[in-house]
Amino acid sequence: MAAFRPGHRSNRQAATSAIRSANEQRSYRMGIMRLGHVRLHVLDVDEAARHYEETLGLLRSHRDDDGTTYLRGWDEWDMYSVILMPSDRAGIDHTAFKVRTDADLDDFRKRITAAGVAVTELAPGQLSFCGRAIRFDLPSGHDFYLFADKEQVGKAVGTTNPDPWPDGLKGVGVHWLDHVMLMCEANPETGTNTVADNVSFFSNVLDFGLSEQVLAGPDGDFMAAAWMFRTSTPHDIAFGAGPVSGLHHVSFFLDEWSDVLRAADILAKREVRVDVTPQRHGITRGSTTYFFDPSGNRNETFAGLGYLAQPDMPTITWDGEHLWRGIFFHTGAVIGDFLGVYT
Amino acid sequence: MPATIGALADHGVRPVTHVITLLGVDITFACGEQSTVLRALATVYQAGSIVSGCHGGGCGVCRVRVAQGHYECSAMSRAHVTPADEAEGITLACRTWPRSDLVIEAIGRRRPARSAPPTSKGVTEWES
Repeated sequence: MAAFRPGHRSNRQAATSAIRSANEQRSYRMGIMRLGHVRLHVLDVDEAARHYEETLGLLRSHRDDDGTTYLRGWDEWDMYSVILMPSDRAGIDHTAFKVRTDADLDDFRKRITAAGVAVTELAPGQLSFCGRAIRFDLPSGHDFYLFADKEQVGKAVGTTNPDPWPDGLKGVGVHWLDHVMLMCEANPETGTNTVADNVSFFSNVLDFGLSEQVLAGPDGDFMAAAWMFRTSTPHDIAFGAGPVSGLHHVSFFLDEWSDVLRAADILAKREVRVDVTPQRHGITRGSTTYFFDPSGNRNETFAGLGYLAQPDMPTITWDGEHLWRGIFFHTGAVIGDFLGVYT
Repeated sequence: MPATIGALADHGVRPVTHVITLLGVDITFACGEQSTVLRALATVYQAGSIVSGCHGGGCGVCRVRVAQGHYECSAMSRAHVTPADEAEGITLACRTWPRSDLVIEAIGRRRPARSAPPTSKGVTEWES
C-alpha cells in the first residue's frame, strides 16, 4: 500500500480498497440480494427492442446472432436485467435472482434439494454472461435461476463524482428493473394454490419476507396474492392466482409521481397500449401506470419506496372485499380485465 | 390543384373501410384496412364478448372465429392460436386487419376449462 499523503487522491483509493478487502475476507454471506433479470418471450424482437430501448429508455448491452437482446437500466451496474428472446409466444421464459457469494449457491442447492425440489447446476456461461448458476422450478411451475456473478458494465453516470442522472436518455428513462409479478395456477375448488405454495417456498427456503397478502374466499383463507422481498422495499417479486401460470407484469423504477405521469404522456404520444393510467396502489403504496409491450407482455412504471420492508415487519393483509382497494386505491374498483389479461 | 379526398381516391390511396359484424351481440362497426378489428371495436363498444386485452397478440382474450370475409394477420402467440386454429379461421382480433367485410364470432381464449366460479366475491373477482 502506498504511503499516506495527506489530501492526496491515492489515500481515498487505498481506503476504499482496504474496506473492500475486509468485506471479502469476512466472506460476507447475505443469501439472495435482488432480482437479477427476466427473460421474456417476444413475437418480434426488433419491435420489442424498439419499445424497451426507445420508449422505456433501457440501454442495450448485447445482441446475439438470433436477435436475443440484452438490456439494462441506466442506474444498473450489472450487464443486463432484461433479455428479449425471439419466440412464437409472449410471456416469461425465466426469472433470475442474484446471490451475494458463490458459496450461497451451494447453500441454496442443498436447501432446495432438501425441500424436495430438483436442482440443475449450470457451468459458467450457460446463463449468458454469468458465472455458475443453479436452476429449479417454482411450485407454480416457473423456471427460476440463482447466480452470484454477472459481467458488469457500470452505471451510466459512473462512480466518480457522478451526476444524479445521465444526459441522452431516451423516452421514459427508467432506472432499473424493480420487480416481477407472476401468475400462479390456483383452483379453490380442488384446493390447488401455487401462490400459497410459492410463498411457503420463498419464506422457508429462499429467506424472503412476506410484506403483504390477499386472503380471500368464503373463509378468508385463500391466499389470492402475495408480495415478497429480499431488499428493503415492499416487493421484489409478487404472486397472483390465476387459472394457468404465466407473467402478470415486469416493473421498472422511477423516482416519483411526476415521473409516472410523464411516462404515461410518453406512452400516449407513441400510442403504446396503456392498460391502467397513473394512480396509487394501496398495496405497496407505489404510484403506478401499466401498459403492454408490442407482444402483449404487461409492463409497469412504478415510483416511490412505498415503505421500509424488513424481515421482522408484520405482514399486511387485504381481505377479498378490499382487494381492489388494495390494487387501485382511489376507485377501489376493477379496471378492464386486469387480473384476467396476462401472458 | 389542392389535394382532396376525391383526388386521393383517384390515385387509389383513399383509406378503405369495411363493415365488421360481431355475432351474438348484434353489433356492426366500421374498420379501416389500416386498423385492427379490436382497435376499431374498442372505439365503439367496450363491454362486448371480445375482451380488450394486451393488443399485442400475447394474452389471447380477443380470440375470434372469422365466419365470413378476408383478412390479414400479424404474429400471434402460438399458445393461443395454433396453425390448425389459423386454418379454421381462428385469429386474435388485435392482430387482424380486414381486407373485406367480415362476420366474426368471439370464442374466448384457448385455456383449460375453468371450474364453476366460487361463491366468494374476492375469489370470483380475482379469477374474473
